Amino acid sequence: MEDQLDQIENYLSGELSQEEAEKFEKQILENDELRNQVENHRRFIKGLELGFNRELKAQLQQEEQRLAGQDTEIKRRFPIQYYIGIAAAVTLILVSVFLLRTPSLNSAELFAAYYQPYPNIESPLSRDDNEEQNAYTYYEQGLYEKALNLFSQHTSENPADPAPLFYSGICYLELDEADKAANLFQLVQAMEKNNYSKAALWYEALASLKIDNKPRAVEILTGLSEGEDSYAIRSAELMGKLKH
Amino acid sequence: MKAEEADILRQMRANPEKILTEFYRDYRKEFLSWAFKSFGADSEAASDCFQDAMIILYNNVQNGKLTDLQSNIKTYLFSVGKNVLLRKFKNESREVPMFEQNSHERALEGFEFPELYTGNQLENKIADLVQTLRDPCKSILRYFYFRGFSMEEIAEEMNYKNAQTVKAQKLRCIKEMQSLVHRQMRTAI
Repeated sequence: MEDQLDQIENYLSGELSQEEAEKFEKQILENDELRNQVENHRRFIKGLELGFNRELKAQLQQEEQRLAGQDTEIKRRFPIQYYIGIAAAVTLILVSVFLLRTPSLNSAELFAAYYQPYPNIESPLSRDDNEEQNAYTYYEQGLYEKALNLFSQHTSENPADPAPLFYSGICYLELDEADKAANLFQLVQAMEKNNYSKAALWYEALASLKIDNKPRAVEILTGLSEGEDSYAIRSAELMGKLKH
Repeated sequence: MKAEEADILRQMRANPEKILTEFYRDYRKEFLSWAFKSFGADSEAASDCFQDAMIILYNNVQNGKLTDLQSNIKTYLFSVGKNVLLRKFKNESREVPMFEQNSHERALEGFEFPELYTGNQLENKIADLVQTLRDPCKSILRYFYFRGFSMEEIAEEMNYKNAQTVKAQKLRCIKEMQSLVHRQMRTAI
């Protein structure tokens, strides 16, 4: 049993030579019981790793509770920081009001002030060699024309996927073709509710600003500002500047 | 890789619990504030993801996938943390809010998401049993399977006579766990 276990462990940890591994794999193929033993041991090791990971997680959660408790204690002992925070917020509001009263920026300037390319949330991790992955890699590298080509291919193969359409829209914004971008963002909005529905509205508003279609921008921003998320805050702020 | 980073990886292999807790203490606040500013993540979600990032870092050091840090440890942790956070948002179908471009944005080359806490039925059963394990089995199995110690190193660490004695004890521990699992699985059926 001990020798058998040694051999299984050496095989699973990749410590056998190529020749030994091939020989062992042949035995596995011919022997059902050995095959089961190898599979069970692989799962046994995996189970142990999961268990120890859970312990490590519990340890870090404990540390988090301790540190979060400290943060609360500091806030409780130094409430003055809260008053400083409130004072800063009031100052910010006053400054905002002042700024809103100053001559407004034109649409293009507002676009530039609020526009940032959307982060790649589709494939932030792997860099496989398939075309869809490459599109996102190009996108992250700022190679928008190359990304656009691959996104178009992907859209023709998967017309129901909103992601390549949405990112194509951003590519067009980057390439200074805001009218095409606005069309694509409308297509994303027309699809069944998806991860990009709201972002597509925000970016269509920005694209509309860029092509100086203020009424459409205001219409979208009015809708967005009724929500309770970061888009609502930005939309209300941007609309304030637009109306001025 | 800088000598400082190589030293950190060495220390992490030698005393992972201590080093991970120290990292967590050192970088937590900055990560939480960055995650809030960049993604609008609340502290609960951000700390959860940062903990997972620490465990991924640890696993990758232990299993030899991470032997050479191209960046410093903080950049690595923040990059992994960002990916974990984005995956969490995606799984929960949450939209990613606007975020500020910053230095931690670099995505990881060839990064894969490991399953950290759950597996199939048998794996989960074994993982559950880890919590109830006692010494010497718990330490021996942890040193061998989780921290990659050799039998000789375990013998030295746990004051056993020699590697052979550890090996025999390890086999007893495995058999004991396996019979427990089988008993529990039979009862469950």
